[in-house]
Amino acid sequence: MRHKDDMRNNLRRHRLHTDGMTQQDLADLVGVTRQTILSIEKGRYNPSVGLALRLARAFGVSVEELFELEEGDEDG
Amino acid sequence: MARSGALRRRPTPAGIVAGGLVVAGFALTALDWGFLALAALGTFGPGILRELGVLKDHDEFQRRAAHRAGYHAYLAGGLVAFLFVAAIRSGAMEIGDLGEVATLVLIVLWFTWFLSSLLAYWGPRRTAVTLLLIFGAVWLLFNIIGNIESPVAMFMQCLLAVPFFALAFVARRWPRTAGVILLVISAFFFYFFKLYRLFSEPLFEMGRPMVLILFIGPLVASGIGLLHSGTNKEPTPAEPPEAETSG
Repeated sequence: MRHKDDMRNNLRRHRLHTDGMTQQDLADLVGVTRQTILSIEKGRYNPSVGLALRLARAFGVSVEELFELEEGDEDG
Repeated sequence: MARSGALRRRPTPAGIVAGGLVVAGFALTALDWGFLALAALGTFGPGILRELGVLKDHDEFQRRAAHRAGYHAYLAGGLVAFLFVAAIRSGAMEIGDLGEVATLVLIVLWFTWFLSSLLAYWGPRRTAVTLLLIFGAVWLLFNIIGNIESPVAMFMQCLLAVPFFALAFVARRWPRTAGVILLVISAFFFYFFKLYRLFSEPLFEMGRPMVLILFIGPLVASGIGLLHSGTNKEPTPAEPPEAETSG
């Protein structure tokens, strides 16, 4: 059975590789709170499609490069 | 694509106005209980305005936390309300003042919402630390106000707030230890306030249900939250975790 929690993300890696961007910088860029960025990075919150797209655009990458499903959970 | 009006953690104007209404509403009940309507406006007004789309000071994560907390409050408040109706209508419980029942249901509703939204937004560890700091601050405030004419008594009473601040410090570094201590303290207060008499005496005598929810409730919730956060592994990120405070 697939769970939404089986998703992981590379947000933190991309953020730190972008001139040491802080969580607050990224939060300001996409219009959310720093706590939201922190929760996404820690895997406690999976963002909406809209926010995922904004985050991907902020780094100039595709959504799939930021978020990916854990291996082995492709089928139900 | 920088946006203006970025969401920060500092209090919003709506939050300040709502807080002012709540404080004023409760303070003015000394004159007339009708002023409690002001507190209701401050408590529920911002949420109603957000649902109507008038107030847009929350991001999607905050909205989700509030919505989940609302469902938890519905479950807890609804269950308690049904149990009261069943007990009263069956004659198993005699209530002299129905206002006390309504107040208790309201406290369960609000406390569940408050705790659940904090847990969803901050996670158990930070929620526990925040609750402990609030506890310590409230204790300090009441003792300073209550002993304003007796500095020695004020000092001695204020010392009792130190364990809460100390536990908040311990909880940041050793959550499981702090969790165990909190549960032990909760058990101590359960006996100190004679809350076990809830099971043998009229429910509303001496306001024990309120003490149980508002005093013991946060301590137990914090303790369980800290034990949970100390034993559960964080979700596996795509890279090694770093300090929470970065950024």
